[in-house]
Amino acid sequence: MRPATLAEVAERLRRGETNAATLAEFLDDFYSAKDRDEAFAMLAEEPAIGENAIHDALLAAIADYLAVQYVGRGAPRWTSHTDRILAEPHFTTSSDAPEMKAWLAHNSPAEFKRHNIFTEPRPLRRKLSERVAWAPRAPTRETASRAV
Amino acid sequence: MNDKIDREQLLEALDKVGAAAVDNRETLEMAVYGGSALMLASNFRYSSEDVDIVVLDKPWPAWLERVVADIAAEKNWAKDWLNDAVTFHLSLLATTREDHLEAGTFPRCQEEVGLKVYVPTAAYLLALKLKAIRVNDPAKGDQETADILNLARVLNLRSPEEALAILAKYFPKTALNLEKHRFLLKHIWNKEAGDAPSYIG
Repeated sequence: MRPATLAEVAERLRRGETNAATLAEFLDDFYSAKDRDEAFAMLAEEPAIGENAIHDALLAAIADYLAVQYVGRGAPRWTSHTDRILAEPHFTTSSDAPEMKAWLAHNSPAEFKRHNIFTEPRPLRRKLSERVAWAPRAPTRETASRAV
Repeated sequence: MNDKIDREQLLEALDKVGAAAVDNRETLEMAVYGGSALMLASNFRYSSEDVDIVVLDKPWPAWLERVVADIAAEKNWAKDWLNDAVTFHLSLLATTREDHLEAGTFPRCQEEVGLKVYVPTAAYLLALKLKAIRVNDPAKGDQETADILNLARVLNLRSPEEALAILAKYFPKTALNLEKHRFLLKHIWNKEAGDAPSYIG
């Protein structure tokens, strides 16, 4: 079964499943939630703190971002715990180029920056993420209409 | 349990869809995109979370809804494991004849064909991936980077500009402003990708 909450995502990451597949499955379910309450419930339960500080902070950044940008509510309280903020900045890129890090630092959403994580301007995109019926202001921008 | 679908599981599922089409006296044509297209057509992708498709030239028949639900229950996959959400992201300029390749007919071990499966050409699939360019995404960045570089190698592209020309062919509106794409592509271009990537066609 797909992970139904971020807490389940954390458990699966701890078991050694890959970040990419586990998060993708969670996101597909999140964007398919029937309403905002159901979507927020998927973020509300605090994932257990693990041995990977980046995972701990990343899950908080994801909850923060999805809650604010899609559900239209404040982030769950657990996301602001100090364990969820990295001591050193983390850039979600395989590039070591300083200009790439500068680009991410400039363009990263505030909900990720709060956790000292720097990523692309519209992270966590999936096929359904721009068509979430219940989202008051899903981040659409240039791809809101079918671009040719 | 992990819901990822591997190549053999995908082929088995397509066999079942093809057999259902035969039972319903239909021949269905379907284009497969994304990771599943790469699984069917390349040597560098081994799994996908779901199967992105478009049924060509007709609406989804009712029997297809049923067989998708049956397969989901049997394999414990998500109920939307086969879905057409990708439609929104496709190029209006791509055609079945010019921009897709036949990847197989199903069921595989049966004379009567119920399902014909097409995949995008390597160039069209590269354009789709470049349009989204999720190379720094915290969830899928590494996978997307590898897919883009492998497709570029398959096409023998020598520079980011050649890749951007392919993007522009399919998505001219996106190509009006390629500054971000150019920057990101330049920074991943020389990374190592798969060993001798190949793609059908």
